Amino acid sequence: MKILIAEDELVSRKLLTKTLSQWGHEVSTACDGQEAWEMLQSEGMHFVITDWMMPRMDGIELCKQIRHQCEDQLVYIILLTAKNRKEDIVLGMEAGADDFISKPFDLNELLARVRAGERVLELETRLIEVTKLKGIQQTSVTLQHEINNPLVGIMGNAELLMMALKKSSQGASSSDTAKMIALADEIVQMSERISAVVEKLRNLYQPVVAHHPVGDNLSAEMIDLHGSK
Amino acid sequence: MGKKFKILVVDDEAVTRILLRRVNNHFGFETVEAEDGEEGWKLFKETDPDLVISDIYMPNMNGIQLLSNIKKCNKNFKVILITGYSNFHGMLDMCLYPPDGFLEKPFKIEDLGRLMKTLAGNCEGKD
Repeated sequence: MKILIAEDELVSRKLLTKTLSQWGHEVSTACDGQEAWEMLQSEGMHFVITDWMMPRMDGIELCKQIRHQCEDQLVYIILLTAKNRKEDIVLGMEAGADDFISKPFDLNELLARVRAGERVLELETRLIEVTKLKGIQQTSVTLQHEINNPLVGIMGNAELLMMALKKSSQGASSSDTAKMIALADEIVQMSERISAVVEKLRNLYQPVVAHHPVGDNLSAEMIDLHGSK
Repeated sequence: MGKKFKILVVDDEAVTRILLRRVNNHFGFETVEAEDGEEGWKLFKETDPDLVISDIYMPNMNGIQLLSNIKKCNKNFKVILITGYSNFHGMLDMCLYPPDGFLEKPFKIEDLGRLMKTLAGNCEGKD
């Protein structure tokens, strides 16, 4: 997991970087809140461990910025601080921190709290996916109903047309009638294809999104109906 | 000449009702139309049809309720259910009164015709 550390004290910053890297995380560091805020915006990280007291922008201000400016972005924040009075904890939580670690910190506690944060992020990510999937499924069911009803008319009438043409051409084989029967048959086949697509969409439970380039730096996002489950 | 085989078509979608009337004409059947389950139930009692083809999702009374009303009246009466939602198949087996035929929209006239003829054949001996 990518973790951003905002800490002005060199020793603490190095210790955090070394420890978290050893645990397999990809660590980025900032020397103050302002730098962390800039990195967060450009690199879009989801896990921040920040000190409280820092020059330029402190940890409380950083928390507030993240919560106010990044409403759509999942960010888990652990506030690292020597302040551990109740009022300080309330202040930090209200600013938007998810958890606290008191300085000097214990490595096992740090590991446990990072793991807890990871679990929360995983749950939030899964929740977003489930909500998205539910939206897709609701859209698909609506589509299925709204498309299948007019398809009944298109497909059924084309079939009736075919039957009428076949009946009228009995005995006499006109090439015009044969052409018309073939066209009506094509309408039936295309209607069946539309119906199959709608059916496939409705049964999606693990949609795979495919990106189709449509120009420089532009791509259309589509559900890959063949690759999805 | 005997009276024409009469089919009561119940669907809130005009497109389906019009198509089914055409299909019935094609097979030489007479059609009575209702726009929802409630009207369907009323026409079932008033017009004495030989077969009912009904949609499932409809205002006022849905197709399952209509099916159940009809079967309570006459358990041998034949009912075909059609629906635009394809997640019904398994659920219909759990119904107290399963339909005699089930088709998903868009259905093939060929399949509907085959089903209607089979059920019409079974209905011929009705009292």
